[in-house]
Amino acid sequence: MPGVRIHHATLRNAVILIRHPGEIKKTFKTYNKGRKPKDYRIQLDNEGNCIVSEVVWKRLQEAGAKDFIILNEVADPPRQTLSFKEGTFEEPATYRMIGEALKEIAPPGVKAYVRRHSG
Amino acid sequence: MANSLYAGYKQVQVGDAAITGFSVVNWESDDCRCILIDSADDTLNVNTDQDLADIAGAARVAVSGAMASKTAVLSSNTVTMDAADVTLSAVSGDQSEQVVIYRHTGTEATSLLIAFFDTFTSGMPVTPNGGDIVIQWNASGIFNW
Repeated sequence: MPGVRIHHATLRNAVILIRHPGEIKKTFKTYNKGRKPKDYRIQLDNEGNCIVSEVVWKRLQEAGAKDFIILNEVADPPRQTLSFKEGTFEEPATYRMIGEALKEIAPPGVKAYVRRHSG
Repeated sequence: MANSLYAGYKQVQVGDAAITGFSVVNWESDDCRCILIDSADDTLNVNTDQDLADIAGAARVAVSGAMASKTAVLSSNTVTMDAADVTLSAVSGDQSEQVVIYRHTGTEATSLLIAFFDTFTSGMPVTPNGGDIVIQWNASGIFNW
């Protein structure tokens, strides 16, 4: 299965950061070996959908991302680009999942405490 | 870390006797490839890692074919390495944060690590979706020295 289209219950046109705890092993022979914790970055389109690999979907489940459902398999997923070219790229709103809740992350240049007190 | 050349690559290129088992990299004719790296599975070190065996297998999400149209151009006392954009086909692994260029020999212990990238203008970290991932180099080249 090349890719799976997943859907978020509420968010649209946003990035969600989902913390995976990793699998650090602490036994004698494998001390501090294994997967380190990291944020999974899920970019939702304006319908709340994102296409991910099966491996990423498995990690999201391990991380307890419960607001997602699988819509369908995608046989021909779109091409993605990693670029070193100069230019300005629009960054959608970013949210971090904390437990069952989502907390908005202030965009660059905006202090979070200013946003909280300004209502 | 930041985008960087591997220390071992620099040592090999200048003929440092402290590093053995590698021949000088001929950028234009050698088989050089890109690997997409999941940084949660290995912590890469450009100062101590030398060859492909130094990168954990679990960290290698995708490997390209041989990079095409490679050029090395000397200008104003600087050699600039460039190549055609690279396509990683049907990537279905874990989220990735880094790219490494290495010289492919078919043997991990002699496949010299060349360059490390973790800072892109867009696209990173990349969440594979089962489709192709294209690495678009800067118009001014991939790296120079």
